[in-house]
Amino acid sequence: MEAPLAIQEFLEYVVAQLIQHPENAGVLHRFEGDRHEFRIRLHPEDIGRVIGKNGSTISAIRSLVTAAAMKNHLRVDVEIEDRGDRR
Amino acid sequence: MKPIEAAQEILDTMLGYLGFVVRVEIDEQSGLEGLQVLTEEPKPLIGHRGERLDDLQYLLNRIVQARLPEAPRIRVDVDHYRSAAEHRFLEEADQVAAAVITSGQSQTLAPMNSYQRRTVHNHFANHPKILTWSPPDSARVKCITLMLRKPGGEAGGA
Repeated sequence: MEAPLAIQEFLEYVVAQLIQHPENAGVLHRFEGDRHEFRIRLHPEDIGRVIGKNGSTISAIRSLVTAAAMKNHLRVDVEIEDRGDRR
Repeated sequence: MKPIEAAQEILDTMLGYLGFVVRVEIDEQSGLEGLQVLTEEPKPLIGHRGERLDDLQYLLNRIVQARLPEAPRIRVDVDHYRSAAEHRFLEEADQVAAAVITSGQSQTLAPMNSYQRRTVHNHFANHPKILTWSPPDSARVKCITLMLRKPGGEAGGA
């Protein structure tokens, strides 16, 4: 499987395990310049569940995505999107 | 399905998506609910001083707890990194303890995470000569100090 697609599926899988409104969730992938950007769209009530206490959950997610990105020589960003606002 | 089996399946799926070829085994040696990840490429999963391994363990536990709120905390290791590291830092702590016994002077160990501190406290819990002390939870830097135990269990030394 192509690495960016696999990372997107990883994010979709992990996010789906943590949230309560999967119908309002999605992961968008965009390749711009030399960076792959993954934007996680969530129901407002789920944002805190994915960010975690003091950002610990999203930080762990980013850390693991970085491991996959380094293995495949990719540059990646993972952002949480909230009605146009990015975190 | 038991929580540890659910965790095994989740961890295998996560690492598969991340492109790592792994075998995830239930680790029955530690006496805790644990998973051992066996892989040809452990370094990216362990990270600098085990930080990525901590992230992996944290995220797995968040997911398992979201699915099974009563599940116990699950320990994750990659290629026996944690057990080897544990052996190393307890050896270092033993060397410091020997110096404390010889000199009578208290010594402070290098900063450790909460799991390591708990392991060191337990390691010396029944030691006849060494007492361990940690600052309160609110302290910014949490280091363990080893000091001489006076007869009766009280702290002695400097």
